[in-house]
Amino acid sequence: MTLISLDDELMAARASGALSAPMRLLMDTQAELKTDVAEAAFAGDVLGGAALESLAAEPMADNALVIALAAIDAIESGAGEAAGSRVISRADAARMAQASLSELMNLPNPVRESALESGAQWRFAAPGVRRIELMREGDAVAELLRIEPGHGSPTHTHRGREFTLVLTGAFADGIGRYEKGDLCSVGEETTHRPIAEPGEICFALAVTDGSLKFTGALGAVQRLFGG
Amino acid sequence: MPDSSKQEAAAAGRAQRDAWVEACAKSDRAAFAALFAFYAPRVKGYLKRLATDDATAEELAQEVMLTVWRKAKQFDPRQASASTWIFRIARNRRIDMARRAARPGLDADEPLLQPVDTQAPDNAAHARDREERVREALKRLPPDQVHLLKLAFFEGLTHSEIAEKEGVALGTVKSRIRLAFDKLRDRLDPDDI
Repeated sequence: MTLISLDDELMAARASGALSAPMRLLMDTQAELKTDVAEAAFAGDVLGGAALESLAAEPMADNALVIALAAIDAIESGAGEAAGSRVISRADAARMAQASLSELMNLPNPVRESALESGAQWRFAAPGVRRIELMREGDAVAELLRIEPGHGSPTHTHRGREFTLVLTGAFADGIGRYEKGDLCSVGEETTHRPIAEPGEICFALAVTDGSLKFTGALGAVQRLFGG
Repeated sequence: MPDSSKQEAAAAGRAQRDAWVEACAKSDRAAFAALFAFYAPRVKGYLKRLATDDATAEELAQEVMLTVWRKAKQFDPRQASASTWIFRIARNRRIDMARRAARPGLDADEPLLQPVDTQAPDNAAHARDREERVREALKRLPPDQVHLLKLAFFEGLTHSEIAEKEGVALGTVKSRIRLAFDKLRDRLDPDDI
């Protein structure tokens, strides 16, 4: 596995909305952990906002504002609430929060939100390893991994390059050691088995995107040892 | 109009739009109508690049504007301008669509499910100042560099696609975008503030 840094091309794809949702989750999460990534993401968003301002207007339907105001009336009268009742009740939320959710609370916001919205149901992945599928869009999948010290993520195959971002703790895979905020990447053909270090439980965000086309200049940086 | 007064007019426009979002947080529908007139057609134009047809883009633009109304209380003009904030909402439509396909879940906005440590980043007070810095740097870039940045950061083209579209070598596209984007990013360097 190699330590990598995200490049301008991926940063631009994130800003424009061209990236898959799982890839953007990966980048937004790293932005919470790394200042330089956060700054680049912010600059990208300002660029987008400025471009939106100067964009040629695409005429809306004549009654568009009337429709919008009617929708606001519906929200304010409470009619919109029932439609959104897929969401688990506050009481249930409190119960679940007391049970097993507390660990999720201190993960970076994008992951925390995504884990909650996907139901926060941990599933067995391997001894000492549990997983939650956070989102899936076409060939792209994002998973949250919870790896207990001394255990490793299961050997697995994936379509396309796999990115792993360390959220808490650290893991090593025989080639390198990766800690909080580090992003590493492995190609489709490679088999790897990262093992969490003793101490803290290692949470990691794993994303694969089989259709990713923005990898042209993905900078791979081999971590150096003993020097 | 001389450059300085043009810039002042642009800044006044931005301040006005920020004020409209803040008024929406107080249920001011006239302010919403003004925001709608400015942003809905632009958001539609942006979404039309992602969505397939006019009707879908119109519908999504409606949803984005409704989100602006619902989340207006979360808008903080000290963090970013109304344009940057609304641009993020419009872009996140794609994420929301991916989420919608997922299993029923918990409401991430539920107060009981918020992290214990919710303190704002140290630089929150300077965030808006940071946006102005990026915008100033953007104004100083030559038009051809702004054009390349827009193709990458707004239109969502890969570097190869830009090279093909513009008839320029791939390496040239990469180095020009790197150069231009670094100028924006450099303005956020804490040593510089």
